[in-house]
Amino acid sequence: METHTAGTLLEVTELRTGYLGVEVLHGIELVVRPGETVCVLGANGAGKTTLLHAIMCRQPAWSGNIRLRGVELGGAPPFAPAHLGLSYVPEGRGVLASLTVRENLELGAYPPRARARLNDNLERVLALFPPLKPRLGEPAANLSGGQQQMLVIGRALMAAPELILLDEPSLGLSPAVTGQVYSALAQLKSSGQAILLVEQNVSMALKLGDRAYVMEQGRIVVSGGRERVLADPRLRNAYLGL
Amino acid sequence: MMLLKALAVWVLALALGFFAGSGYLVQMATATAILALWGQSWNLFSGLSGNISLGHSAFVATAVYITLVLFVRWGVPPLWGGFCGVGAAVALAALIGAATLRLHGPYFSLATLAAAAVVLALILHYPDLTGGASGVALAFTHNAALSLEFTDGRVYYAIAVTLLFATTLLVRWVRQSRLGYYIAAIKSSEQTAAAAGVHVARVKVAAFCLSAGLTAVGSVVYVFYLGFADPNYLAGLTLSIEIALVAFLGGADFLLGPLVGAIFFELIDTGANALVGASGGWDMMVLGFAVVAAVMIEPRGLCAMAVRGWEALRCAFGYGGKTLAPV
Amino acid sequence: MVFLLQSLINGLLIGGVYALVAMGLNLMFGVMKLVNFAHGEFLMAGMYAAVLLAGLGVPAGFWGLYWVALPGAFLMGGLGCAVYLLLLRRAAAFGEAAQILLTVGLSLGMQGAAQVLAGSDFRLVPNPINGAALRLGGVTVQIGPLVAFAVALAVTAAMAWLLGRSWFGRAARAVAEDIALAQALGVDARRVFLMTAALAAGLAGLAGALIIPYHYTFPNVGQSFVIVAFLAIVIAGLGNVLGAVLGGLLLGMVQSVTASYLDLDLSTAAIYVLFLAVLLLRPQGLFTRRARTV
Repeated sequence: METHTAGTLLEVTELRTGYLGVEVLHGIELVVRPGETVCVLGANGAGKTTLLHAIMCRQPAWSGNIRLRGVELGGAPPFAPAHLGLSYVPEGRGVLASLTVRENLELGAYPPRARARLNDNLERVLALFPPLKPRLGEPAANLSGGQQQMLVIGRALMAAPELILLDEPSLGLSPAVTGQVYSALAQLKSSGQAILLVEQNVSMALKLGDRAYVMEQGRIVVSGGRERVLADPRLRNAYLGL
Repeated sequence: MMLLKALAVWVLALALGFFAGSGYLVQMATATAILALWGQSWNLFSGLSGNISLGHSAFVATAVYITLVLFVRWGVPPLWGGFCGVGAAVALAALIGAATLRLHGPYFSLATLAAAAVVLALILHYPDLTGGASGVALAFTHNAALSLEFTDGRVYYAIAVTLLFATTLLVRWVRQSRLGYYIAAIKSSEQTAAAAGVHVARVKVAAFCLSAGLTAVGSVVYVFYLGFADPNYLAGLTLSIEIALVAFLGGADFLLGPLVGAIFFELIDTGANALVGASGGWDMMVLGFAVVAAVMIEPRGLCAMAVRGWEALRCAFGYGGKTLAPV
Repeated sequence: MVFLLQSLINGLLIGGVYALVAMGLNLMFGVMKLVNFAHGEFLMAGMYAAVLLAGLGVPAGFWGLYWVALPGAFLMGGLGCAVYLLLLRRAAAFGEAAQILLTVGLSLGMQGAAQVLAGSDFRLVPNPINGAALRLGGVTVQIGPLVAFAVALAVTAAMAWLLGRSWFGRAARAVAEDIALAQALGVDARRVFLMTAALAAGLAGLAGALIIPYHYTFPNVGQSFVIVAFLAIVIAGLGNVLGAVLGGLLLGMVQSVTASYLDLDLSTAAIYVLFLAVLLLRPQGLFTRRARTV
């Protein structure tokens, strides 16, 4: 047993996984420290969502380790990460459409560790996303796309997570709404929330992120601080596939 | 070539029956052949498309009772009355299919299950016409082909085997026809099939009607062979389940699956009857838990089990050609 | 007029029992996407459990029989857990066709087992509730069915609270809509399934316990209730648990009225025609607003 590096929140080492016998991630190394915002960038099909699925135990790791504060997540059932303090914002509107807005938010506090502070967290989320407040009693299906994205982020925050994982929060949103979502994320960041952000929208993501990893075909090809990654020509290559 | 082989098997099956005499063995073989025919008909729609019918006994009972009522009350020869019976069964299938087969979900299974219950209730409600719960008995005194009356059981055996072969060949042909490809496409994804231009609902209803019709043909022959119609059996849930089990047990993906399933079923059934007798609920219990066991052990049926065993053997001796895909 | 009213009341009261059976069916379908064709056999087994317990001795007093009948419902909850853990949990991966055959086989096997163990006699535990009735004007209200109906209404209210307000309810509805998402939120879907199976079987067992004073017990008693319940959940809307209650009550009344004016055998046919009509005209169900998406 190795001990985890002091001061890391999430530590992914040598992670390999894939679908139907075909390897998609070829040994990913990734670290998130408390309070940090880390971006994972890359083109479609680079393996970003697969990485998040592996961290959330939706997708079993073939080898390697995923540790949250030193606790191994590999092989845990898919409901375990939420209980350990990971919140997940899936790609493209993950609202429960048949439930009300309030019920969606309450379900975010499902892990026992979050239930005690349900009301405090609800107030916090509504302060962060005021448009949700008048619509608490409505079915989530009635919300606009931007409001749904707010709801899903708010639901993730209801668990008072150690780390929040976001998969393409700007996907399919208008620039104005994307701006709203990102300003909320910036507020979260300044309150000390650790964020792992998967994005194709590089400029938005890197305005927010402290550090970034660039993925290409299941491998991390660049990693480092924001400026370093922005300056790296391989970032452009990763997107243009050159 | 395939046709030639099938012909040879058919002639062989007829000859075996002919020389076996009119005894118990031929009776059992006739019952097995009819059961396999029903299973084959069930498989043609439910097995191939994945829409499970739990009410094929509704078609059995409809065809049988229409034929019998026409024959017993009005003297219509069963050969002609049989067409009416089969036609009525097909019409019933068309009605159920039109209402349920354009929907996703378990509507179809529920509708077929309830249809059999309704047919039974109607038979019991008109005892003057149908004989009610005591059923209809047929007494044969002479041979009359038009009335499907034969004193020698081997004739029924020959008819049953011939029908089974015809149905099997038909199913084989359907599988390779345009209809078969449509059904296979629908099974894997209705949306994709529809997007590719398949009239999903129409194909499903057509295949279901064909399945009901073939089932009905076998039923009419079977009831004249039995010489007795018991409504609680012919329109009962047990028979529906037997029909589905036979196809499923043998393997819905295999052409000969229903035949294998029927033989296996008759052996188990005969064995259970010999051990504990047919009454007292044992037969129902054995049948029910046999279905449970079959699904839990190998949901793809006996043939799949055999293929798997054969592959394992080949691999063990170094002839393994195919590797099993990881699941 | 009194005849019609009497027949409607009889139907409403029996409809309460259908509602209990249908609620469990729809709960299981909504959460687990599984039609449990063996659902009626939990009602049957609950009745036999009560008959068995009554054989050991019935507490004195007018309501005595209920004291031995109700534990049967809890036993059925346990049986539901066992069926989930032994069969349904693994069968989830087999696909819809195999699941249907599995529960149908279980249904037949349980009916056969009941006949083997208890014989095919019709049994009725002698009790004072059977036949006792209130007379209101020209209308007679039987006590046994009235109690069953009242309990069914109370259980409906409890289910509405459970599904709408409790953590289990929110988790169950989340699993029903999107199992992967629910798990990401920390919901253990298998535990939700286990509780759903127990609850559904318990509701069927409860229905059995409530009809014990006035209904015969026999091996396929579950079938006559569950077939109506199957049709009720489709008419109400698949997966709509509270709608199933309305469906049960409606079919109880339709059945009773057709039975009074025509014949009991024909009432099955009448309900079936209604069922086909609903599927043709309003496939999402009478009491469900939005069409079910696949």
